[in-house]
Amino acid sequence: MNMRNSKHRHWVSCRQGKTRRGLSLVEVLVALFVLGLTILPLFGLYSQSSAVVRIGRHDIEAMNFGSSFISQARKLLPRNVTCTNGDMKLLAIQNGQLRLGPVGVANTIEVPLLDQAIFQTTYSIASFVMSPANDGMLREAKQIVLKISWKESLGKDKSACFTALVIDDSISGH
Amino acid sequence: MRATTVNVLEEEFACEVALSASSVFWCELEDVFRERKGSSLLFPGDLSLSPLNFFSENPNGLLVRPSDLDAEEKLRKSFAAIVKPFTETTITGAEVGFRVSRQTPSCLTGSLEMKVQVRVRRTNYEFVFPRDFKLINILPAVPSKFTLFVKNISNPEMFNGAQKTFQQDSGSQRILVLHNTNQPFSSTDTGLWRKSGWIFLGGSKVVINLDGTHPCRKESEFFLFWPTIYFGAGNQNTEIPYFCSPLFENTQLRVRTMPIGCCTEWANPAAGLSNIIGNTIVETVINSSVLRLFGEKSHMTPTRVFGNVFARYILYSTLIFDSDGDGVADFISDPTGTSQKAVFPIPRAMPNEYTNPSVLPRMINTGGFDLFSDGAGTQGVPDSLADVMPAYSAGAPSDYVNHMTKLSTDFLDSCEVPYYNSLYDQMFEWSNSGANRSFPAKQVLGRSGEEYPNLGTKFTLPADQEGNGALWKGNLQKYDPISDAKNLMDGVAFRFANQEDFFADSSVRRLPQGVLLRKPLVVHIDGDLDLSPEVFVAAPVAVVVSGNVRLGRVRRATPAGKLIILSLAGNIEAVGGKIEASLLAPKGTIRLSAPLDLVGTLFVDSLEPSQLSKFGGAIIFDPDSDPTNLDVYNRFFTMVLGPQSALVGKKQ
Repeated sequence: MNMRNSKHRHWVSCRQGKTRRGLSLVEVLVALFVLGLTILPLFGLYSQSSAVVRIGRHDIEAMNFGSSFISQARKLLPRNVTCTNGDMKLLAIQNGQLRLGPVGVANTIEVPLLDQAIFQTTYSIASFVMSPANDGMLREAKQIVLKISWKESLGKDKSACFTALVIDDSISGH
Repeated sequence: MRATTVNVLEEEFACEVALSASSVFWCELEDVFRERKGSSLLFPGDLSLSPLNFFSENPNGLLVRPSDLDAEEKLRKSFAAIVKPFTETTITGAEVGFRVSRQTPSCLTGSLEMKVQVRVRRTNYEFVFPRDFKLINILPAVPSKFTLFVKNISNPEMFNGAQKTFQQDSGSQRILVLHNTNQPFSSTDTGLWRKSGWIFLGGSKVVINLDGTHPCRKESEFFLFWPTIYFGAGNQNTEIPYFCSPLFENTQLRVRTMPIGCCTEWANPAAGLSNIIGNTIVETVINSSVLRLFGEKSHMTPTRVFGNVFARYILYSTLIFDSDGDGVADFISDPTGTSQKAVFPIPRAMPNEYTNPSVLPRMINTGGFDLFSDGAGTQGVPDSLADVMPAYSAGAPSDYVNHMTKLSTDFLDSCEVPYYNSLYDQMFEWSNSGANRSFPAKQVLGRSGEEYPNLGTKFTLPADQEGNGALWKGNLQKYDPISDAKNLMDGVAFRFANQEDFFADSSVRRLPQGVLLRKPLVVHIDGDLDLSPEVFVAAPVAVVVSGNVRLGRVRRATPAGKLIILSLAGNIEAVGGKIEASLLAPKGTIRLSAPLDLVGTLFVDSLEPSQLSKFGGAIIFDPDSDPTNLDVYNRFFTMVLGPQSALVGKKQ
């Protein structure tokens, strides 16, 4: 009843007032086109930023790993770490721990987990030549270099380097 | 976003390269600070011009670049080596700036800011690595000028415990010998004291008995009177030298005086010596001191002594018959025709007899020969002693007192003779060639009223060895290295709760044979510190310890090494081995469990003679710690660096 009345009123009112003109199909299509022009780039941007975030996530993971590795390695004594024969693959990391020299001395570092399916990691430890002090105090130093490489989702190869110099300036026969 | 993450990775890498470069630069700079050379900017030839001498200069704003270091080339090679494994990476610059934040009379504090510039691909980065510093002259000026500084002497006779016969090399008691300079003795170098380590023995009276064993004996101190005569081990029967008076008028008699130290023979009734010096004082002259102030006969080191310090020895006088005037006693035939050596001891009169002579003493030699009765009629021998000493026979004993046997301590305190410093003059008595020896010797150390004695109440530590300026002025008797305006406490850069924490510090290295102190340090350790059995010192290091300190061997591992130990309230124990250090225990003493072998300074509140006589040893003044040597003092402005702080980075 109410509905009927309502329809009725609506109808009446239509009949009774000035008739209003609707949108033409063309107008609607044009509006949709304009809307599409506006929205489509936004979709593209969203998609692209998602890709960048994916890529950035790899960067961040690499940086976390590298920074952690290097900051801990920097605290080691040069005599406690063993020089490598060039780049060495960083393979098994047991329980997040990595040993950079012989057992029995302080040379273990803890590193975050890194997906080895994505990241290839190598490190090298080399003697760094430092002359003794004028009064004969010998100095020993080693340079640690960590290289992480991975392939971005877009297929581009990417790598990051990290380095630290560890110095002990009092090794001597004094 | 992508660019951002790429930049973060690159910046992290650039930072690590910069950090490596800074490590190398710090390393070189630390060596310059440690060795106090290697940079004409920081340590010019004339160290008084060093900007680190903050008493006269101000290092605020000073910039140090690699080119300012002698190690510039090494540094550049190291920088190149750091970036060698990487492409498109260069270290483009580095410098260190001084920022001073606070200054006190004894210490300067602030930070060093090391800037390192790195270029990665096309981006320049600059990283700043700040590091706190403290700059202090770690040489405690007053104690460092002294071979031995003892604040309190409990008993004036406390050191006189070494008992020996005349021909004994050493007794059961050991002696502690002070070697106040490393220069060989020269009788013409009267200013030797200026470059020597001095001695302070508190404000109370202390008497040092000289060693009167035969000059050829090892511990004999005859050299104090005859420094230019050599007595070897094989000539123990050689006659002891003496002084002679002129011949008495109209006689062939003269007085021969022989200064002799203390030994047990003075109490030997058979030798008749106890009667000569007086039985009542014999006990004071049978022992010699376990502390020897002027070195030993193989290394004579006279110096300046502060305090109320007396030297006790005997001026043994004899009347001799010397007909040929050669200063040597002749022989006279006694009534039986036996030749008698004409040497007649002149007994010491008691002070109460000085103004009231009782009887003329007889002049009898060791063979019982009486000069004036048995030798009557001998040409040149008068009838009696009264003819030789008329004043004495007339009741005014001045001539007898002048010539009789006496102790150095018999002289009035107003006279310089009893004081130890007069022995300095005695050793240089022949400094003017051709001059006759006199007793007392002419003063070369100072003037009466200044050095005889010098109580140290108006003490000035000069700034140089010519006596100019003043590093410190005041009363030595009240000197306290802890409350001194320029004291070590103000410069303490690190404080440790115990010695374990100290040993765990990166500046300390435990070696198989001991401990290596490798960085300039001023540290305070609560509790006790045990550095035995061996410590190697490669840098200027001052260690302030609340409690006791135990030392074995202390060795300077490099020329820059210098260890200063200050025990605030405890004792210092030396368990054996050579100690190259300055030891200060202003409220304690030194305890020995082996002979002391110290090169440096010993500053203590008191000494325990029983400790010294049990082990003895030597203290050798270290001229490389003499604060009155300008070069030395300026070398001890010591930079103590704090840990490397978090870096401040920026991209250019």
